[in-house]
Amino acid sequence: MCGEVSWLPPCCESRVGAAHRRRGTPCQDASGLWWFADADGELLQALVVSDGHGSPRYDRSAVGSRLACEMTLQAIASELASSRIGASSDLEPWREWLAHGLPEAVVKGWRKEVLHHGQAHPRADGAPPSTLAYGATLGVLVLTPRWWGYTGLGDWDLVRTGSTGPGELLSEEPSSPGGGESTFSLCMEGAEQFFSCRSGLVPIEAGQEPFTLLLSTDGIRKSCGSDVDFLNLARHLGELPQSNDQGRFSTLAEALDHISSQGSGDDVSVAIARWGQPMDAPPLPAPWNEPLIVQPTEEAPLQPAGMESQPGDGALGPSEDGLCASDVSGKPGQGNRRGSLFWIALPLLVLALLAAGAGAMSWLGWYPFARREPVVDAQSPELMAVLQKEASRLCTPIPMPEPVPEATGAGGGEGSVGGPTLNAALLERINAALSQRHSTFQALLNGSPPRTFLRTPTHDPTGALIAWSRFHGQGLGPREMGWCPELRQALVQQWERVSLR
Amino acid sequence: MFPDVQLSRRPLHFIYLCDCSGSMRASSKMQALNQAIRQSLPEMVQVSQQNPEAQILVRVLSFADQAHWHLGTPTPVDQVQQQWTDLEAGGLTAMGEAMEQLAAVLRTPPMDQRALPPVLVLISDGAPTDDFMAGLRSLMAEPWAAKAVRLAIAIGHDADLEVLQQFIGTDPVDDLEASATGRIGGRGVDGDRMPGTGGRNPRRPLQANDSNTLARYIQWASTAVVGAASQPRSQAGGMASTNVVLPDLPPTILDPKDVW
Repeated sequence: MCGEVSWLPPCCESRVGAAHRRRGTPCQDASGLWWFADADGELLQALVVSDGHGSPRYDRSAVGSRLACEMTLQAIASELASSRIGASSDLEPWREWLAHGLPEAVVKGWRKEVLHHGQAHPRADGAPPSTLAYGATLGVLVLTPRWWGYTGLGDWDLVRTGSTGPGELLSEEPSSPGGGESTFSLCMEGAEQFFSCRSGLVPIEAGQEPFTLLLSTDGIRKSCGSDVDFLNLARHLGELPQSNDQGRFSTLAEALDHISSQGSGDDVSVAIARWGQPMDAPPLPAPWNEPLIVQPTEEAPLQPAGMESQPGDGALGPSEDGLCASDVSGKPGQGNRRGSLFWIALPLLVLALLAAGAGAMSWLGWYPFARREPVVDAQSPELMAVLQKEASRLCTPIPMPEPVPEATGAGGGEGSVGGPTLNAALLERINAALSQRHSTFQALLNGSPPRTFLRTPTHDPTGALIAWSRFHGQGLGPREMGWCPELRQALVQQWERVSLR
Repeated sequence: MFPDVQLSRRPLHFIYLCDCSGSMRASSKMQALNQAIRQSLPEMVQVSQQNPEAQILVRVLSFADQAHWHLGTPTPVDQVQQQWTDLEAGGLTAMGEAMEQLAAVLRTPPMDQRALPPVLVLISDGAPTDDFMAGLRSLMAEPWAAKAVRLAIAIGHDADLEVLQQFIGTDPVDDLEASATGRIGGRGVDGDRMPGTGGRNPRRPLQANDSNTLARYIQWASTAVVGAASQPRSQAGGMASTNVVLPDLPPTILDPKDVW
């Protein structure tokens, strides 16, 4: 390869997701970058992406993600600007710094800043400031002339693409810690300890071929049909021509909008670093005095005091304090509203009581408002036909008959079942079917009239069969009907079971 | 020029698990369930159109003597109406086998890694007649099942609420309350039903004792819950919370004509 290679100007971008745009919710993603010089004047770069959680309890996560980017870039610069990256060939201290030192500084700084924000923007309910509402993920890239490294926590992805061949997924969240959309977060207790498994350092060897690193929030990967598509997309984004040296360019923004609208609908952020020949890109400008932070809305719109009790953007469930917004009292004019509500509620209450009473009567077999069904005579051919058909269905033989001695203890006499042996499997199956009609047995035992079940036997053949067995006495009658002994035995057992409860 | 990359909506699998045992023939329960599902489909299509980032795919698994995929192919919700055929009742309650069959389709593959948490709706009027616990263990061993929104509708008073609660899992709020009150899952430690909790918490079995209530719960699960599940909202891991914020339950009015 000809010519000198080095880090080219980086870029980053965050875009409001298509779904967020449609619902009018703020962008909870943020990204940022900073290039600066170390004590020897060597140019360094730091890139970050952060994704604020979308669940209602994280209603300040847009602020959390922006502060995460700011604090991380500050922490990196404060450590590296006074260091001499090239002074030692030992990279182990830097590896350790990425895994532990930097995370501790970031988490400490982020917590301090979000609590400060919470104090400056108190909640209406007077709840003390908490880091929970600001929960966000964080992905970090640090680039030096001798090595590059990454760290962070959460569901961001890091892809490396070379000049040829497929891209390589260097880092991803191994598995979501709580299932579903759960991810590691800055707001979690001991968050700094979750960075080490997502950190790494890669030395830059002499003659290093050009490559591109793409750091992205989860909205990008979740928009792709497969990981192959994701790697191809990462290559495409990394190869987009850059139109200026300000760290942002319109083609990238347009591409991200397209990805979100055709894919996950989530907010999307990327930070792109490129190692290559300067002729491929505009020259790296002079170090910046301050970092670039990208977030389509500067800050999540904070609800004015008194209106903050509905977290998130959906009217799903109660507010944080468990009260609906309409439960707030003491506002002028609310007395009249309550009065009108009373007159609306009163007739509804009366109707509800009538309905409840009617339901109770229905349960007892009396249907004051229901259309009367023609009652089937207890000995009618229609009822007999339904009962026989249902008994035949229940008695349908099943393979592998297993002879067992007939059960005893059913009382003998009228309650006993004839025949020397029973098909145990069939008995078990019938018992299983009848045991699901516990409430029918119970209702009949408690005095519910059998006609409730016999009036329309075709609607509930099993209920009619049970009622008929009750109508003729427990276990009585079925013998004359010619029902199989297993069904008769099962009826006896079910009636006994209900009686004993 | 955008590259040849397949950008796609995240699949949202919605699966009905329907008890089709013989007892479902009683009091027109099967008829009511079929009608409730059919009636819910147009609004489900609307929810899908309102959430274009999610691709809602519907399946139906029925269980009686055996578990059987009534609608086995993940079907886009706007095509379900054309393909729908009514469920038929008859036989036992092989709920455990249904859990096994469900577990088989909740693996990756065939599940897409990017899929949204599935919504699983178990509807039953009775108790399992096979080894439910073995089936449930198989199901819950699948990460997608653990991530899923699991709902259960109890039809009538013979439904085994304990079993349905085991399918749903423990309510995290109950976990917190249990440590303070000694009660677990909305029931006392002796298993009695706690007053005032029956069926009105979506993390517990929803009690449908008439066709109108059943229809309302089916409608709620297939529209409000699907809408919530279509809008993924990330959260910090380890939080005592479910992945999808369940919407409020619909109001229910006792139907005087049709009590199961």
